[in-house]
Amino acid sequence: MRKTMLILLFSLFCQLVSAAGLTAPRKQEIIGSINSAASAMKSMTCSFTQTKYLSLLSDKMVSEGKMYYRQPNRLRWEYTSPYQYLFVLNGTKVYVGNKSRKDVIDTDANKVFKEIARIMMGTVTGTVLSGSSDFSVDVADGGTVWRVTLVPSKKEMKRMFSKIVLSFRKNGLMVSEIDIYEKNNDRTNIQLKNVKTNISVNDALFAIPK
Amino acid sequence: MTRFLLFLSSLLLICASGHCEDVAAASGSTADRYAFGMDMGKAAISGIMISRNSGDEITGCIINEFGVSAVDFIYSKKKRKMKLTSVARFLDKWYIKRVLCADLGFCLHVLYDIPYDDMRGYLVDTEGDSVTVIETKRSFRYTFSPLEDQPVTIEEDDTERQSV
Repeated sequence: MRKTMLILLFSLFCQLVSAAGLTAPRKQEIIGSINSAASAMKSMTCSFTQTKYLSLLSDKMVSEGKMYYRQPNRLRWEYTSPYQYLFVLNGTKVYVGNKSRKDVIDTDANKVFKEIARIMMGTVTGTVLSGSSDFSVDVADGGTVWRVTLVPSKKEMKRMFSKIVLSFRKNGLMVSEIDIYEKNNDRTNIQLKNVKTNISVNDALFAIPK
Repeated sequence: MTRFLLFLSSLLLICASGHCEDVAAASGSTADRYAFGMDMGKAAISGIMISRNSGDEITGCIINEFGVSAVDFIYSKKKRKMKLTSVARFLDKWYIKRVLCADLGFCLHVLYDIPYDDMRGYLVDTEGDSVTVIETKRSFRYTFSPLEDQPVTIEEDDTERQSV
């Protein structure tokens, strides 16, 4: 009995120690490793499942799609189910469209869209952590992942999001999950699956449709 | 000691059940889903509208395809009054909200087959399951196309295997 109690107490103590968090130098080390891994990633493809949790309705909306990325500034984010919607970033041009409406935006002329495109690409690839003054960054140990919490520091972003949490697999340091917390208590969770990195990605995927 | 451990286990079981119920309540849905479009001439929004008709109220959310919230609303069928509980910044102007309240309220009457006293200022066009409401004064168009419930495919994730 006494032995059992001692084992239980020891386990509880270990849990408390691990929950106490990482030291500041260790956090910096992890962020540095993530930045290096993100910079070394020349291309990426994956499928994703996006779940939007709606606080007002206590309900959720699930959608699926595919993502393609190529350094430095090519991103294709394509929804395939239950609706078709396409976002393509190619250099300074952004295409957004569905069956009924298409728009091409020049990010050089549209600061808001430039920011959106930059942050979108940064969060899915992990490059958002590198030298960014857009967010305050914190790191926590999530078991098989590093959980990086980004709190916006700019006014415009603060109005939309309270925080973004990125989960990086410890094995490979790639983004596996993104959680976006909005001001109205809604949350969007994006899970990236079947991630392939540094493979050849067809140029045609990033062509801006006419 | 044994009694304490039994109590702890029971407590954990109750908490787990409660969590499961919350998850079940969240995932089990009777909400309606529409592909939504709002065309105001110079500007347009596309996305999804999710709404639930229950009792005296219709509660709903309009989000864009990325999941970013545009509008959350509660419509009182009894009072014929629309309340916007949350509005994206680019829509958060009193004159836009006033128009939205009136137009979305009318759209809900059309979608849920609720009798409407006054149709002045609106035209309704249906094509198959899709509904288009046109606000004639400003030529604003609202389109709603029911989204089919598609099963989510559970893909096996081979990312870890590739990393090894």
